[in-house]
Amino acid sequence: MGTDQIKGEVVCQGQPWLLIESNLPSRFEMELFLVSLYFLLTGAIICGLIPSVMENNTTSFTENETIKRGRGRPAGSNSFEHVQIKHLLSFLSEEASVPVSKLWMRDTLGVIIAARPIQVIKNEQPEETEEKVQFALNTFEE
Amino acid sequence: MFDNLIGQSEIKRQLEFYSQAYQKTSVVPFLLLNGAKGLGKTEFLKQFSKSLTNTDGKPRPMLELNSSTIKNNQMFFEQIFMPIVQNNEVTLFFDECHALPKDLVMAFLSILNTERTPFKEFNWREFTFEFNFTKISMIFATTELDKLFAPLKDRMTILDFKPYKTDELSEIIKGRLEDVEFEDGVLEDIASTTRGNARSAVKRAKEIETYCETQNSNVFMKEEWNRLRQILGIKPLGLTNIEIQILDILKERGPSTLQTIAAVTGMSRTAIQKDAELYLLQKALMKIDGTREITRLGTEVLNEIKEKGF
Repeated sequence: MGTDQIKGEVVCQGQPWLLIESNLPSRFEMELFLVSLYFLLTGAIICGLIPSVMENNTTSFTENETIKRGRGRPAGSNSFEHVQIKHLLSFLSEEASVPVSKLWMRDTLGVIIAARPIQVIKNEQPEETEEKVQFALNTFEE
Repeated sequence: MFDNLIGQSEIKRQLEFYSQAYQKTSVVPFLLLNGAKGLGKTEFLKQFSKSLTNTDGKPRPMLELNSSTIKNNQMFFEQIFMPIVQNNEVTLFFDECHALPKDLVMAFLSILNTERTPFKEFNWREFTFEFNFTKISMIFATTELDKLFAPLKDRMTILDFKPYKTDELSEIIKGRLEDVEFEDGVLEDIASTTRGNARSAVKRAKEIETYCETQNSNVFMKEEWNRLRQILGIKPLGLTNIEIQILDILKERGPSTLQTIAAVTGMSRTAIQKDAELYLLQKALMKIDGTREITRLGTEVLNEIKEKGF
């Protein structure tokens, strides 16, 4: 048994929650301490004594504002799958149009698709007739 | 100047005075002709404008504007002032000027503020417009004086038109039918149905002319008049059907509230007050003393209508 002492505290939501003070002279005692601590914390989470951060999808940012987590494509995920042409042809005819990404075309075929010109849609509604002032001119010429 | 126009002697005197003053000063004050419809505001103004001579010796043209069709300053300056008025000698006549748009009324407040000189420059957007009132005469007319912005009214000289008298209306009718011979008393009877309105008198003269043409006759007796009344449904005093209905309600039900009359006729209270009651009160056919009540004269007229089947 050694005489060295370790101290520590478990902090939950900015508040000290558990104070640890122990003499850990040997590796066995250290492992035993860590295992105990693991079970202690797990039990506390299960009992609801410590709110689980993992359960929250939102983190408080300011009093009135929240930032959503989990939006957008997760890192590493992909929208495309590799499929053999012969498998596709069992579902589609040779005339079928299949969407492929511009990036794939550029990298595989070396084809660069020019951006489509922006189509300006004209307002087909008839223009409002300009309002006219009603007047009559009397010239008094015989 | 107004030889061919009948009645409105006070207006004639005033306009003649301003016309004579124009010969010396080349300026006409900002006149506001006030009066009910059909009293001859436009006709008198035409004659007046004709009497104003431009520098080329010709009568000053008159531009008659329907004020309610001017929606804003832009329409006035772009469609009227720049193409027609600027650099020309012209009379601008704003008919029904109570309907002028607010921004133009505000512009006129500064434009018509010409106490010292007859010139005014007005800035609108990036333009500067010169109002030279020796070249431009501005005259206004309204049937609803109370709706005109008071500060604008203060800048104008108001001329009030009065309802025509029966003899003046008879003269108007006779003036339009010089070839027709009337039985004594018939012209006055016809005039009494025109409600003091010169335009109605002209309209009635036209109806008589048409009747005489269809009958191939130049003599218009009481019998012809009664026949024409039956044909056209012309009631005594020129009463309308709704006015007769109100008299009928008051006779049958006795003194009644405005609410009751509105409920029975199906008209709004405002419409009754503005359109129907005024003439009945003016002709003393009904009176308001807390409630509405038919007068003795009203009862007599109503009996006449029923007896003669008008």
